[in-house]
Amino acid sequence: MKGKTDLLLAWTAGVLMIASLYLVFLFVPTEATMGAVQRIFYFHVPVAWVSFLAMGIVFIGSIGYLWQRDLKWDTLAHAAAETGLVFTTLMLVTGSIWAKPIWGAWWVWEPRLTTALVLWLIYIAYLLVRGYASQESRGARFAAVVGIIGFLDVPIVALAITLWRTQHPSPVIFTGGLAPSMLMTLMVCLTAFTVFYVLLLRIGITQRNSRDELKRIKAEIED
Amino acid sequence: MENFGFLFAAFGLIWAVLFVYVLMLVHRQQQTKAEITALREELKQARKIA
Repeated sequence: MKGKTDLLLAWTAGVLMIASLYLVFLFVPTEATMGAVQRIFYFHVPVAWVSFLAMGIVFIGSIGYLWQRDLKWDTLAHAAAETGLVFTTLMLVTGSIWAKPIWGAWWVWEPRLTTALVLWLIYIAYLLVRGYASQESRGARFAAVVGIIGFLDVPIVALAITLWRTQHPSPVIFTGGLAPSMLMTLMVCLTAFTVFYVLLLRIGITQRNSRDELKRIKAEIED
Repeated sequence: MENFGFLFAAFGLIWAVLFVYVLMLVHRQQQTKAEITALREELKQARKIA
């Protein structure tokens, strides 16, 4: 059942990714002001969404772990954080590649970019705290605290463009600022990346469970 | 100003990073599974001797 679900997710993600590439490169019209480079938007936004979603899962997993002390919550949070770090890195780098031709600079210290960089640092802190703790349970506890506090940054990143005057483009998705074909393309890309993330999260959880099983067997041998 | 170089750099990077990450996950999982199988076998042998 588990393998079948993963296979179904892999196929769905694959088909949606191919559809995304078709829509982004062959279907959607070129934006008038920015030209072809605007097409980065169709993958930059989904990657950013996934990095927020991942931190949301870290938050839920962390609360669950501190509340019930059940390792399954910690496993969920840990797997979500590792994949979240990959997507947050992609969000920062793709944003930077877009910024160079549009703003003339790879990086600008403005609220949206700075708070997004803080999110990336929170992911790093979450993983480092686990790695350097003297005991595994202590690492999980400290990481859970980082995960809960770290989640506070997500609404700040999301609202940074409305709360402060920023150089980052204003919101266009819910304000009717996108042509229907552009909105449809973005929605397909968002779905593709979300499904792909769920698949990666499940693989990450399976991997951590296998690692725990390995530790149990090693302990049994030592006894 | 089309800037195709930047566009392809961004897309190439996304696919390259995700591809390497998936490979890393699969490799790690295979390694752990192989280790589990070997240790289980070792444990079985040890129990037989005991």
